[in-house]
Amino acid sequence: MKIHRLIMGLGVAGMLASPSHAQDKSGDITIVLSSAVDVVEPCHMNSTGYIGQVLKANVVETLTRMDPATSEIKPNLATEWKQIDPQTWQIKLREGVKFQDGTDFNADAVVAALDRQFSPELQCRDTIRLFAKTTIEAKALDPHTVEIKTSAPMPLMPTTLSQIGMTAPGTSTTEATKSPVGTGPYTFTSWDPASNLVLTRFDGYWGDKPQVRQATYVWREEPALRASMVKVGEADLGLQIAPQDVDPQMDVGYLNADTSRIRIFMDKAPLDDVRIRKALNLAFDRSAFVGTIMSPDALPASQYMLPSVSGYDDSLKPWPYDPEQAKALVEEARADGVAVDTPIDLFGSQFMQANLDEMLQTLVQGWQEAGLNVQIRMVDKIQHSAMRRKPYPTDRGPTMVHELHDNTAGDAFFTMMVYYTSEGALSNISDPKLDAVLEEASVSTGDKRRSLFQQANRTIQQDVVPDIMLFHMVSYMRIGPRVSFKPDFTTGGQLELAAISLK
Amino acid sequence: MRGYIGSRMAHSAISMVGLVVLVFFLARLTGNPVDIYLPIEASAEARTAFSEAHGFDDPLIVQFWHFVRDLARLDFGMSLRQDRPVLDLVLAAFPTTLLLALCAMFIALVVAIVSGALAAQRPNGVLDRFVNVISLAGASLPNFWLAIVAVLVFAVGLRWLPTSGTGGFVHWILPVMVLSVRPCGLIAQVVRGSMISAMSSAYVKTARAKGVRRTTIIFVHALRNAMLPVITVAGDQATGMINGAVVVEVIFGLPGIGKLMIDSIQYRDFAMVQGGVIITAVAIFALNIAIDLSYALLDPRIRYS
Repeated sequence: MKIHRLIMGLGVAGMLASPSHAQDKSGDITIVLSSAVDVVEPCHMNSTGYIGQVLKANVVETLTRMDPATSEIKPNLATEWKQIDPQTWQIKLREGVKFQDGTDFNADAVVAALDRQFSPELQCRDTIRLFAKTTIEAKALDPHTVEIKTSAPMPLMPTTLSQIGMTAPGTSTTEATKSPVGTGPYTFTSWDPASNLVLTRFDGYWGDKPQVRQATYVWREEPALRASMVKVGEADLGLQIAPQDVDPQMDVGYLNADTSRIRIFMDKAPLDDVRIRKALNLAFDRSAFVGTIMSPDALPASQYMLPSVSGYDDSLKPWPYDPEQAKALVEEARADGVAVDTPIDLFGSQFMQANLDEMLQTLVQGWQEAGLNVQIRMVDKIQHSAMRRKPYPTDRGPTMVHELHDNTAGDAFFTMMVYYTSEGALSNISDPKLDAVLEEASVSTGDKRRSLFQQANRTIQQDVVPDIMLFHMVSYMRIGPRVSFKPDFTTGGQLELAAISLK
Repeated sequence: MRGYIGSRMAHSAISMVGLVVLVFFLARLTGNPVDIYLPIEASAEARTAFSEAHGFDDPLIVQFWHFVRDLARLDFGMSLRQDRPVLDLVLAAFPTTLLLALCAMFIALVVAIVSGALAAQRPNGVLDRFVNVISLAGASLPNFWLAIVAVLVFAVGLRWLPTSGTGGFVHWILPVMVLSVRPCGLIAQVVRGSMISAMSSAYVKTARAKGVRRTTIIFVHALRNAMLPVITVAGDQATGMINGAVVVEVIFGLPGIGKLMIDSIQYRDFAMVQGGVIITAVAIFALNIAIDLSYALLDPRIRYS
């Protein structure tokens, strides 16, 4: 009898505690992320995907915003901007905006937010990435106009401002905030770093009222779990669905801004010979990877940025598959005394992409058939980073490194100055002519700027050949039956709740 | 008894010192966390500032001294990743792992003892063969695979249970079941073997001859004598369960110590790794002492000195 009661009791407890499915009519949704949200500091939000996915454009807004369709910079909290001189910008602010804590959004608030971004205690990742050694001085000209002076010319100031969150003036400048306050359409309601985070619609928002009332973020590392949660209705959106779990009825694939390549260190034989670098590009069939090792929607790449980025050159095509020419180039180099048999180390790290081991092994096979001796070295994240950035290790032979790069800012500057100039932190090129073109491009505007970056891209891919371009990468999102959402290349760092509509 | 406990605690303390030293230095062999926490294009100045702010630029021996000094005050430091006290994070995560492990161990023991004891009654009989196959399979199946299959069957296919997460009793069913399968299989094998041996002993024959009821012979006389090897294996499985819990916590999204440790290792959160390892080690040492003491309860012939 007692056992019977116990079973009944457990059954009732089970029913009472049954999962709180998100399917109701109140406008509440659940989003399942792939990474735990254990940091919510807005000054890292453009450098750390999961922070941006939760905060950017939801809790914290930027002065400008980029249109993902055109990569154009549009007004947001700033209504207009103009460059006074190469190092001075004036920004006109939107009026009638309030932070979620009730304080006014005005020029003083912008100055405070920009100063916070440079706080030495916070070591903001976005500042490090966007400004490098450039410093700024911001001051209020009137309640709704801010002047920003920079220590070096910043022609991309409007783009840069699309990546800096405006936090409320009361936000700590010495410690990473654990309850961010911004001007966005959602307030930061609750956060348990171990399990979930909740945002609730902000009634005092200056813009249109979004449909979603409340969003609960949970996180599961296992892709099959994320897919299952949406399938059974425990969540409405599931991010980073693995290609093997893709269900065409529920999942949407999209270019995720990442482009993969193998960087060639051109300082040691045989990699110092351009014929070998061309042979490496010709020796494998990129299209054979698509739908097999890579997902069916991946695109072979010709440049280290997406086609939507300003400065991308449409005339450049991915390297063709020509094993005979690859062999001929290797033999020609051998005949000229190049040490083509020297073992080449190819470094990779599993954290970079799925099926990397299989992809690298297939590449190595193609290179072997061309007459080159490449050996794979899989390393962990820290060792991989140490191989990718200056100062490079000196105790190494001929080296190549597999890597990914995303450019969500929409301008070639953020790729080319880092990867292809002599001073670039992740560059293996030292070419004064190329430097001159890129320097000129970086301070130019409009069509001239675009044309110079395109010219540099052609020189890099046709003459210098410092890398083996691979693929524009694809992610999959599972979308439940209650909601509509169209992911794009910014979704990896920004998931705007206002763009989600309820069915 | 007190002397024995004191001696075991002293041995544990020595092991703990070795563990602390190992964890501290091995963690630092894995590289400077600056490569994970700052963007890869960070300047040398930014990298230096980060290292200085977190003491990574100090000589290793100085870092170790600071660590030992703070540890003596039970200060485990701040999590580099979460910017919260390590002790708070570990103590918040520990109950989840403990509850998961206790429930899984309880179920594993009950099922394994009953099935192992019954299987031993007729060696090579139908029930014995069935228990043998199932327990071997259970002991061999990886938790990772089992967890995914369990979700697909019970949450996605049948819709009986939630896929993952926390919230109520039903959320614990799948993780506990998955975690209990492996120890259940192993312990059932040991119970079976040990019971076969016990059932052929002289005291069981005597009990039978005296007309004692069969269930009393099995579960009172034979099982108690067969329990010593079971306790040893169960103890080993209980400590190993902390490791098994890592996989289960990660897959089911349970905020336990296993998941916390995995994240900390990935992100080179040294203070968090050190704190987690030390507190987990204390729990395992305590568990081992408790297991040793339980021998005396089961077999009065065992005396500690």
